[in-house]
Amino acid sequence: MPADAAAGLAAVCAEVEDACRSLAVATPAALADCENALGRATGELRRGHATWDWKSGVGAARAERTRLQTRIRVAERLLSSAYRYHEGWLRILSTMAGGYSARGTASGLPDVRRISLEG
Amino acid sequence: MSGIVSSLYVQAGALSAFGQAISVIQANVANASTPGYASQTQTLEALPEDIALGSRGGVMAGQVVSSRDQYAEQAVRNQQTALGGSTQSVNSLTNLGSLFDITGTSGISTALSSLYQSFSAWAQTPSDSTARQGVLAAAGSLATAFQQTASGLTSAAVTANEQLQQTVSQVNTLVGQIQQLNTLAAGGNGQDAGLDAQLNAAIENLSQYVPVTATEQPDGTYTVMLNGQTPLVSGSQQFALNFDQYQPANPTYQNAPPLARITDADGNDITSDITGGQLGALLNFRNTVLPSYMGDANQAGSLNTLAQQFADTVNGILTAGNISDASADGTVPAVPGVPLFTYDTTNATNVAASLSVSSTITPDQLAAISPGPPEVSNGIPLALTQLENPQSAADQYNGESYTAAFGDLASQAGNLVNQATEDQQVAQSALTQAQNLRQQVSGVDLDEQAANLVEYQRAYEANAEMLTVLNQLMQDTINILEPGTA
Repeated sequence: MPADAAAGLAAVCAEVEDACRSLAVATPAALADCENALGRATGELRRGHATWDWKSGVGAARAERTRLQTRIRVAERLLSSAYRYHEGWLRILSTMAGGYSARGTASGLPDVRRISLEG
Repeated sequence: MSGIVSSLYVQAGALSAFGQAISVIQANVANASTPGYASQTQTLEALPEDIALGSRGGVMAGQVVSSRDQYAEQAVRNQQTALGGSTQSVNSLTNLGSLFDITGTSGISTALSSLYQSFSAWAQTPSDSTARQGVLAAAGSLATAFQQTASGLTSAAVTANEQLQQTVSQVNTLVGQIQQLNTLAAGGNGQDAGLDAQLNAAIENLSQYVPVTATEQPDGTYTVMLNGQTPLVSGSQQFALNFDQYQPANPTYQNAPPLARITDADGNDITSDITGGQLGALLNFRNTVLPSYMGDANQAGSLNTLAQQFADTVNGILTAGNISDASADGTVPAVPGVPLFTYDTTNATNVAASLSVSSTITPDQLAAISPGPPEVSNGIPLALTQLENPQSAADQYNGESYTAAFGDLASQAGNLVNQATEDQQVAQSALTQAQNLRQQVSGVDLDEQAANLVEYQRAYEANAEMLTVLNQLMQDTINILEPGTA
């Protein structure tokens, strides 16, 4: 018996929400998780498209589709936002590595005698 | 003996230095949940040991270094601005959406439908006074519905003005707090973590209202600019914003509703610079969204043009008809029809608010006879009934029926609400992301960040591919309900 389309779309949506959660953390490991979640979402959607039962619960399926579209837009925005953030970081660090501070002044050499305690 | 004394000095110095380091750690723990707080690091500096020069070695406390990263702080502020703006848009637009009811239970849509029904009833019994009275009553209800919607828009504008005034006051209050904190910071040694936390919390709070950029100065104070252009606070100097309303020069429509304006401390108009935050959303609602319906100096507003064109069309059909025929011998001329609707013809932005049924018209003055040729005794009510499903361009509004045109106004308002709601969801997620990213840089040094970035670069090499996957996923999602279910 084919699975209900609304339930199938909800499962895809859950995968995209996983991807969004990973993007919200945006560490390298989380980004790898995000890529995997998106891959699963794409696979499920393509497989389900052919096999899901589209006859029953069209209204529920349509609502799930709208929810899925919104989550995909959120994922796109988070990916772009994280990318811009790290791109900016890279520019700042490249500048510092070139001997200049972020404000264009000469960056000081590290004090080799200095140790630090953090808490 | 001197060796022992020297050793004691070194140990005492080290104890003092580590004591200070522990104080810094305690402050970090105590302030873990303090808004705006960034963890501090006590640096310890090794002292040279050179007996010949009397230097005993050991360690001493160096600078307390803040882990605050201004780049990460600004990223959070930007997302606070986006969230503040979208939240305000949802609030403003939800109220607007309630003015355009298309559920068929109230408002213009229902009144329009009732008027068409009354035209149809009149066409069936053109001489019946009850049917004629029904037309006048339904026309009166439609005019009232237009007036109420126009009044609702005016109220929304008044509310938006009050909110603009309150928001500007809130911005000035927060800027005043930052200015006072700056004064304290300038009087200290620039290393007060608590003061720094208060300053950053106040700036982050401010960013919900207006887009700001903040630059930390060497003395620990912050220079805060609105959208990177207009100074709000610099050191101990505050630059207050002002709100007022104005009419643009050389207006196309005289006596149109005024627009909102924000000016800087020098009186310069900076309205167009405020593109985000609660203030930006309010300005967009007040100066762009509302005028598209109710008009301003340069546009009549879609509600007014709809009301005017409908009234003119109905009046045109009625005045083309006759109340009574001419006498057979031609001694008594035909009595032409009179207009049903009146409105303020001197102000195109006041049509919907002033639309009413002519105070002098009576039921028997409704012209039913179409003079033709051929003459049709109920030709005019039939022509009015046809307005519901118009066949000619003259009876349409922008190529569609008046019912559909009003539906477009309503759906336009509904779409704005939906878009704002989605933007709010996205902004909330993006803010969480920015806060997480800020948390990641807090407490780590730049060398560690540089090492991380190698990993980030690898992860982001997959960025383009991930965007492609998302685009494909979206396309599949859009297409997915089409086969046999749409």
